[in-house]
Amino acid sequence: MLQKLADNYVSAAAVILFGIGFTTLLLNKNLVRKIIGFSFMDSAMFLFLAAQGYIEGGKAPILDPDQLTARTTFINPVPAGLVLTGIVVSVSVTALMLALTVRLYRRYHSLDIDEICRLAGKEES
Amino acid sequence: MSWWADIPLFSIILCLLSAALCSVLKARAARVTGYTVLALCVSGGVMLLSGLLSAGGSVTFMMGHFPAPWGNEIRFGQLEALLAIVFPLIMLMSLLGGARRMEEQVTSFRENLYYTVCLLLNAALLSQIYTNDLFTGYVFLEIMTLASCGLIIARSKGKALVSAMRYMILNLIGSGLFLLGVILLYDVTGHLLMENIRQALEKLHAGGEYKTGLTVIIALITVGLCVKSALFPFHTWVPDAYSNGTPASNAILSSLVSKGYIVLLIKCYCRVFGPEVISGSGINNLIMLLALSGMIIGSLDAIRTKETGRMIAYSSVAQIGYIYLGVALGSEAGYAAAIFHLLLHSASKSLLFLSADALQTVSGESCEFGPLAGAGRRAKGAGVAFTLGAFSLVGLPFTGGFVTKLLLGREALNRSVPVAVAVLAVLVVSTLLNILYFLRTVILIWSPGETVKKRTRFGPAFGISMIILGTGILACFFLASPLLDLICMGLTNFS
Repeated sequence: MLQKLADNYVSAAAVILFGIGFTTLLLNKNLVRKIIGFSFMDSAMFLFLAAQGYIEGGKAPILDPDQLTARTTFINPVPAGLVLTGIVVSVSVTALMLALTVRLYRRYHSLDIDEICRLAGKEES
Repeated sequence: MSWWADIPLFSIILCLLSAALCSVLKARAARVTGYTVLALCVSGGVMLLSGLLSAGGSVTFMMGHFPAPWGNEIRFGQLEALLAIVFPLIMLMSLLGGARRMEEQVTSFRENLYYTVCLLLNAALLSQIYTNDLFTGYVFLEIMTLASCGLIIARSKGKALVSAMRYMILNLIGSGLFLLGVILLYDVTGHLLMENIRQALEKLHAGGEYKTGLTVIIALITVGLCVKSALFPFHTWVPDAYSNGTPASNAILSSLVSKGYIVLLIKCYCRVFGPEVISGSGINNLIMLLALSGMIIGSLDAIRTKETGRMIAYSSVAQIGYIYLGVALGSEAGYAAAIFHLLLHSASKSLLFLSADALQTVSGESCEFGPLAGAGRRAKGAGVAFTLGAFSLVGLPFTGGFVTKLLLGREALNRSVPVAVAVLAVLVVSTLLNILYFLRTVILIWSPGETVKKRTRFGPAFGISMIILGTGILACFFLASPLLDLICMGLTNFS
C-alpha cells in the first residue's frame, strides 16, 4: 500500500490538494479563501492530468525529422493541451468570482458569506 | 456530405461571433442582433431536422478533417436537431416575453451585454447538444456556468449578487467533480471522443477490469451534473438564483440552463458508458431515490413558501425530479419520457415565470401571494397563460404534463413490484401536492379582487411569446405520439 503511494506520489499529492481545495471552496466562509480553494482544486486536477501524460525519459513532442530515431520517446501531448485549455477556463472563472467578490464587498463591506447573506436579507425587508 | 451537415458548426460559430459583436453594439442594435441570431438558429435547426429525417441515421462531422482518435467531432441525429430547435426558440421567447422589463431592470449591466451573455449561453447549449468529445463538453459547461452567472447579476440588486455567488460556488463544485470524472475516464481509456471511450469501456467491462474505478467515475460525473442541474438534495441554490434576476433571466435559467446539463448526462449514459456499464454500477438506484425524494420535497417546499417566484422555483426542483426519474428507469422508454418532460418543462417554466411577472406588475409589484388576488381578471392574457402553465405542470389532461405522468407510470409498471409501487405512489402524492400549490394560486388569481381602471398593456412581444409557449404546451399533448416517435428515433441514433 505504502509502496504504491510512494510510486504514485504525484497522484497522491494531487488527491490531497484536491481535497484541500474542495473543502475550502465548500466550507470556508471567507469569499477570497473560497476562490483560493477553487484554484487549488483546479490546479490539483491539472497536476494529475499532466502527471498522467508524462512518460519517463520522454522528450517534448516536437518532431524533428533529422533527429528522429526508432528509440526516441515523446511525452503524450494531449494532456498538456487539456491542461492549457483547463487553465484558460480556470482563469476566467477566477476573474469572474473576484469581480463578484469586489461588487459584494463594495456593497456590504464584508467578505463573510453568512454575514453578506444576513445583510442582503435585511436590505430587502 | 449534404449541405445541411454544416449547420450545427455554423450555428455555434454564428452565436459566438455575434456575442462578441453585441458587446460593442448599442442596446437596440444588440437586441436586433440577438433576436435575429436566435431566429436563425431555430430555422437552422428546422432545416437540419428535415434533412436528417429524409436521410435517416446520424451524421458525424470531423472538425478540421482530422480522423477519429485525434480530431474533435460533432455528431447529430434527429434528437439533437429537435433539441437545437427547441432551446433557441425558448430562449427567444423568454427574451421577447421579458423585453418590457429590460430597460428598467438591466441598468448597471448595459443592455447590449445582456444579449452577449444570452448568445454565449446559446452557443454553449448548442455545443452541449452537438459535441461528441467529453472535454469540449466540459469547456462549454463552464462557459454555460459563467454565462448564467452573468444572467443573474444583470439585475443590480443586492440579493441577485448574493444568489449569483452561491450559484457559482455550488456550480464550481459540480464542474470540478465532472472534470475529475472526465480526467479519470481519459486515464482509464486513453480517449476523449465518446465512441472511442465506449469501445474501450466495453473491453474493460467484458474483462471485468477497473470495476471500482468505473463506479467512481460514473458517480463523479453523475453527482457533478446533478449538482449543476439542481437535483434534490443539491438544490439549495435554486430558489434564490431563479427568483432574483430579471424575468427573462429567471425563465432562461430555469428552463434552459439546467436542461443543458441533463442533456449532457443523458449523452454520457447513452453514448459514453452504455446501458450495461450503467446498470452494472447501480447508479440508477441512487438517482431514482434522489428523484423520488426531490419530487416530494420540492413540492413541499413550494407549498411552504410565501412568494410566487420562489414557489415556481421550488416546483422546478420537483419537475427536475420527474426528468431524473425517467433517466433512472434506464430503458429507452424511460429516456424518452425524460426528454419529453425536459422539452415540456422548458416551455411551461418560461411561460410561468413570464406570466407570473406580468401578474405581479398589475398587482403592485408585490412578490407575495396576497396582492395577486384577482390579478387574472386585471391581465387576462397573462392569467390564462399562468393557468395553462400550472395545469401542465400539475399534469391535467389536454396538457403535456399528463403525457409525462402516463409515460413514467407505464414504464414503472415494467419494473419489479416494490419499484413500481414506490414510483406510482410518489407520482400520485407529488401530483396531489402540485395540485395543492398550483391550483391554490390559479384560484387566487381568478378570484374577485380589487379592480383597476387603467389597463396595463404588455405589448405585442409579450403576447407572441405567451401564445407560442402556450401552443407548445398544448402541442405536447395533441401531437404527443409523433413527438415521441421522433424522440425514440433520435434515441436509437443517439447512442
